[in-house]
Amino acid sequence: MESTVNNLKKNRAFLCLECGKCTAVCPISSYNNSFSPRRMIAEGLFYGTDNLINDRLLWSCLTCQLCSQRCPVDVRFSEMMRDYRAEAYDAGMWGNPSHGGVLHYIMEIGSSPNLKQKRTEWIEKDLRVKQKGDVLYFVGCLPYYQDFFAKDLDFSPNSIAIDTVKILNYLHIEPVVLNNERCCGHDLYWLGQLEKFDELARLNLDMIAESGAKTVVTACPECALSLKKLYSERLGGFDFEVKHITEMVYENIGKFRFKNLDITAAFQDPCRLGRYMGVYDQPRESLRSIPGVELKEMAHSRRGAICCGTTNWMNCDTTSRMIQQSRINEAAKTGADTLITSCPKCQIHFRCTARDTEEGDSDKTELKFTDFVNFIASALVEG
Amino acid sequence: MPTKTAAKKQTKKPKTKDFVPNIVAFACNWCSYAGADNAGVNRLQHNPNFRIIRTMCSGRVTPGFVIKALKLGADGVLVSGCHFGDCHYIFGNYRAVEQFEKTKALVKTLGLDEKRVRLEWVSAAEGPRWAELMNEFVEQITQLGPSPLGNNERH
Amino acid sequence: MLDAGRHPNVNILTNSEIVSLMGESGNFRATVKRHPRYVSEALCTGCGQCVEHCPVVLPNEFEVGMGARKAIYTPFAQAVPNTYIIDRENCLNDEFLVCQNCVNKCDRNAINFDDSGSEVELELGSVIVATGFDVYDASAIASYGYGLYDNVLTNMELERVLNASGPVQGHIVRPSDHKPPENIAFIQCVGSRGEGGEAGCKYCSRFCCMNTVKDCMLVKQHAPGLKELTVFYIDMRAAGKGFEEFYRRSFDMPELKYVRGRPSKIIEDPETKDLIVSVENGETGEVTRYKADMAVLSAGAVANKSNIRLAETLGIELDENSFFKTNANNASPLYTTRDGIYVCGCAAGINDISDSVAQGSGAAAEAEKHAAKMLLEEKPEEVEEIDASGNPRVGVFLCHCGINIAGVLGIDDLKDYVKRIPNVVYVEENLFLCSDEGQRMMQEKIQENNLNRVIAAACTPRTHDPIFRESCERVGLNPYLFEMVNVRDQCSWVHSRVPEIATNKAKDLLRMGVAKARHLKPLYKTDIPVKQSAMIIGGGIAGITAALNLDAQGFKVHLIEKDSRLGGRLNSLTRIYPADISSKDLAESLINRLNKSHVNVMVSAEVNSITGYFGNFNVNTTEGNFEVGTIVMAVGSDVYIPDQEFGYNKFENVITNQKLEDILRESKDEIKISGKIPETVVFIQCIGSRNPGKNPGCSRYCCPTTIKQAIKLRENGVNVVVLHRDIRTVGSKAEEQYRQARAKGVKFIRYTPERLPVVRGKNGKADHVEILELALNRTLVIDTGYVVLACGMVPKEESFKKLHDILKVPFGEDGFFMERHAKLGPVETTTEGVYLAGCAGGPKDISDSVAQGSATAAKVASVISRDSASLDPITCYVEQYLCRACGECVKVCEYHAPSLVDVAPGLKAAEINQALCKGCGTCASLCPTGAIDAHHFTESQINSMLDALLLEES
Repeated sequence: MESTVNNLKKNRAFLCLECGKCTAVCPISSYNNSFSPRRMIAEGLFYGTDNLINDRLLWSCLTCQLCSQRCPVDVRFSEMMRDYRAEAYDAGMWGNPSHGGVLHYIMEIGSSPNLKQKRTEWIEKDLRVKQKGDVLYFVGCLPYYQDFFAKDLDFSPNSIAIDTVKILNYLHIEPVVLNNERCCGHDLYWLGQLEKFDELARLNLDMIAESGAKTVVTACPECALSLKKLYSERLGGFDFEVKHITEMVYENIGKFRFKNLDITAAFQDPCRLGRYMGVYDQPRESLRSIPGVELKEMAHSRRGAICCGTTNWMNCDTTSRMIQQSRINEAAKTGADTLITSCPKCQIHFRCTARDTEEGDSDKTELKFTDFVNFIASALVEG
Repeated sequence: MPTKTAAKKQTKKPKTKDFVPNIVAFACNWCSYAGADNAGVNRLQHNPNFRIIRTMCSGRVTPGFVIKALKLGADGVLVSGCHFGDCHYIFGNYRAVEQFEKTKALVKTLGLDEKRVRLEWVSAAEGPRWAELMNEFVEQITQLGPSPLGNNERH
Repeated sequence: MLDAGRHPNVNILTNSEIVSLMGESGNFRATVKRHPRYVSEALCTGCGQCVEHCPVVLPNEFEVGMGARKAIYTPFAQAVPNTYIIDRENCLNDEFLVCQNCVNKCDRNAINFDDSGSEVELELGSVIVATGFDVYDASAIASYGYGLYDNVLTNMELERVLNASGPVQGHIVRPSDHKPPENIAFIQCVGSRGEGGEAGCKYCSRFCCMNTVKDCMLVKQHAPGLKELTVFYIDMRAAGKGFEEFYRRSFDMPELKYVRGRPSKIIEDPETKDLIVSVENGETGEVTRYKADMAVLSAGAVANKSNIRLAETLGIELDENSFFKTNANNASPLYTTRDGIYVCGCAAGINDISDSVAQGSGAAAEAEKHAAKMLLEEKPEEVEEIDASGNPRVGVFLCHCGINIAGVLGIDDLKDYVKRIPNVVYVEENLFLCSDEGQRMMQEKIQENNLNRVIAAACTPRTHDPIFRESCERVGLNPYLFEMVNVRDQCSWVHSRVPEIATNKAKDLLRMGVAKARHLKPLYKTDIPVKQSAMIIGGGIAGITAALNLDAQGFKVHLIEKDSRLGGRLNSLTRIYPADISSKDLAESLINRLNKSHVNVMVSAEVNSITGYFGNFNVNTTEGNFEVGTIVMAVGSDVYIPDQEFGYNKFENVITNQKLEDILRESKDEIKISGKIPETVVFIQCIGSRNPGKNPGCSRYCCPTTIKQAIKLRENGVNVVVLHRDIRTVGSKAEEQYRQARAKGVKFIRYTPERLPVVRGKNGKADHVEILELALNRTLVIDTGYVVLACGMVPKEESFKKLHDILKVPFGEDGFFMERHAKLGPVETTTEGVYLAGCAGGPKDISDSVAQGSATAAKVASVISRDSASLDPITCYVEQYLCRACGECVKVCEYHAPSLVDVAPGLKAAEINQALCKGCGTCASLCPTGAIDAHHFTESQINSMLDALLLEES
């Protein structure tokens, strides 16, 4: 009970006014009545954790921060979920992991200090990388996604890594790429496996320190959040700067020469990049600087953007699919032919739903999905 | 329904000398499990350092099961089903191949020797083959030494 | 036994004898005398108190006198019923000294010395005689010293010695000094292939060769210090499915030597009790004296001595060997000389296990014709289901399986270990858990200890899951809350040399089993309708037999034949032995009967496709579509066509045995080949058989066929020479025919695969055969007019492949269809509702094919006699709340079990048709969200097993 009180206190749940804005705005709640942030707060306040930690919906929250943003008293709902999950995990509970849990196992395997991975097979000859240097490119889970999703979803997650290095090279940066990089631990953090998260963080921090990097660039908003905020929250401050690739590109926008693309695109704000880190304009301004690119805004965008429908490889169900479909429909409605996101996971989720929609279904989309870096790289003019 | 995970327990450090590998063998009910039984009926003595988990079909074995076994420190994982064309469920073993390709790719990226995982076909009549295969696989894993993910000592 | 004992339609009368049989086929009245047992079957619980306190110790007949039993006893551990019986001849209560120990110790008052037996009158449609055989009394052959020398055993005694639950717990020692033997001699054909009477029966006892090969393999495991095993034999008769392959595998044992030769005598060294076996080596001609620590006599089989009286009572005839005579007008081995009385197994001659099983089923099918829907369906007592929703209370039952398990694994150690596993609330061990007594104990303990999960650590779930599950069900525990841990087939049997490691393995397996058990969920069977008809594919003798039988039982049968005429192989034969009936007559009579029957016969017709499943197949043929409940595959086999072997295709006068059969059939009695009677004909055996890699098996039919043909030729004045590797005349009367051939002057010369005979000739004509005669060590040159190649049976590649693709019945190593179980399921396949008869499952002779035809009829009838069947609940299921309706499962399932359905307006989710789902779990493994799971092999169950193995401490 004490832990519940701490959880409620720490995450400001006692302040809840029962206004229900959270539930009204929650994307899960809008497709699944039985999920209600407000009721979950009340459950904790009045009955403690017993029901909560046994409820499979505990693992459905996207931790997208949409509710927190609307909350008049700043209840930290996502963090509260994380803490309940930690408690649930310790009690032996777990949600319904996607893909037989294989992605979670890979995250956990990363915490093994003896691991000697082969994560850099994607580095092509014309890419320039270094063992040590000022800038480190933190690749994230792309090589694992390549193994697991490339065939089924007909795209190459590794191409995001390749194009990121291309962009950096364009800026005359030869980044350090770690062959033995671990998962940043983002998902484990939000699933309440904080010990494992710390282990991963330490291993990554040691490797970053050893590389001598002063700036860490990543093309994944989750990695960016982990490195920038979560690592220091858990393990103290560090003397390197973290930049998401959208920020990096924006800062150097004058140095790029783009060709004309003639594409109408919409941008999906990844929750971690937008609401967690406040990066909204950098990707948009960068994209707009490519001649011929017309950028449309979806009905829900920027601070009000809706999540891609599933997080942490957990409880991906019909609700997730409906959120994804509504996002795809919103994008299509803008008249865009391409939906750009800067999070590999958003792309995986959208592609999955788009693939599964049958021909002839009114939801079947012509929309193309691509990552911000692939898009930028495709527009670059050599030299 | 949320699913339970086992209580977490930390066990002792590996002892590299006298290495006895820890091997999980997934065997399909109709061919490979029956083949292992057939080895028994024929009293074909073979290396005991593996533990069989029965599934109805090799197609049941997700990359998740194999990667989980490795995560928990298994030194090797075998997935065994019916020969092509013999699958009791027609093409379950072809699905097993597709699944196993993903598994193998992940194993490689994770830097584990891909020889630690193996996909094989043993029919119900092939008791001798099962015995031979297990001898060979245990030997192969013994040569590779303990998994870098292993934290168990076992005999 | 246990299954039969539990079956509602089977009434077992043991210790009983039929004393009269009145009436006729379909309407018999039998009087059965039930001999007194002195122990009430109803009251006895098998507790064992009486046995413990019985003062009389007697030699145990079941242990061939090597073990002891009391005067009150059960004949053997797994006996059904497992009620004690009193041997009054040896019981003390018969003496002036009244003992009464057992009566006093029996808490249930089950013992009654006033029992005088009873007589029962039974109304019967038919009678099946299955009286088995007696073992030849090896002491009749004085020169082998059985009964005189301590260290001369029979094969039956060795069986008991090797048996882990036998008198010496499977530790093989010599009787004289209890030391492990270093060398053992096996002497074949003791009492078989003799002169008749005491000097040995004239026939071949058929099973002894394979029994010896198996025993040699077993001996090696049971006698660690073993240096040499020598088998003395005349011909190694590995004639049966997979037998030749098994025999060949024994060559890998360096200790094992096969010596061709029948020992003349065994002499014992009176000091050391060692034995000297004198034999002439048939290959080298040397007379050798082998020193052996032990000798095992492969005693043959003789007719059950009670056959004579039984034959009289039943009014049926015996043959010259006192086996029951089979009907001469019929190729079936199942018909006796009296209508309505059938015979199976060794009562009518020697059969091995799988043929006996097939004959047993076949006799049942024949009997069913008279039984006219006498099916009784007793619903098991309704018991209240145990609520298993609370915390798991796991009971673990460790089976010793005699000492199959307990002789290797440390049971006490395991027991202590299992007790410490969380959730295990009860642990028990048992000598034979599958015995009546074991099962009763299990049921009691489930109730007493409120168990809601049960584990049996025993043999294999593939055979024993149903038995244990039934026990659970009887006491109200859902049968799917039971889990089996395989510590015998996959542990004690295969790691017997490392008992400690095997015990640790068993601990891991048990820990995993308990982990799975915690996650088990109750499952419930559902019923599906069954089409009460059958499709028989193949109109050879096996298929026709099955069709006629099912028709007689009143079932709708469709028989489809690819050829333009029925009869299959019968059409290319002349006469059929041993019945000595014309093949043509037999075929005609069968076809006549078919024409008079209600069977829908289709010739020149083929199956295009089959969809559906057990009970509900849709067969699309060139003659239309049929809905049937079951399918019999009786498509026969092909005969091997030689390539260049022995001059075939090179010399015109090198012909196959089928070609010769055609000549014999067409030439009436004059045997003319190309217009003239040949002077000499040479047969070469084993063409396309016993050829490792390609056609590994023995084709079984060719030796008797060659002999039949050789006799025919010889009777026409032709010199006949048969070149062979072993003469394998194992079928009924085949050995007698072989003797007859020799008596008529047919010459037999053995060759080895290393030194094949060579056929030489010129101008496209063979003129002589060269062969190394082993005894003389000289190459013989045989001038010959004809060379006949005895070609084996091979799979019909094209039709087999087609059926295999349609029905998914797997092939064995030999390329023939594989039966469900080599011994116990010879006519069943792994595909439910699909059965196998005749040569499609491997080479067979006519009578074995007929028996299998009948056997499949019994299997078919057991399905289609009901209009519904219950489905195994081990299927896949969808948690629809998790389903994204991605359709992956729909794409992947070969059985079309999953489909996407509307669950709410605009909302789809997958649903799995339980009748179509086979439970493979492939969809579950591909389901991205985890919405699909496979019952009884759920993700949480498998994950928990991995956790238990790799995380929890051992």
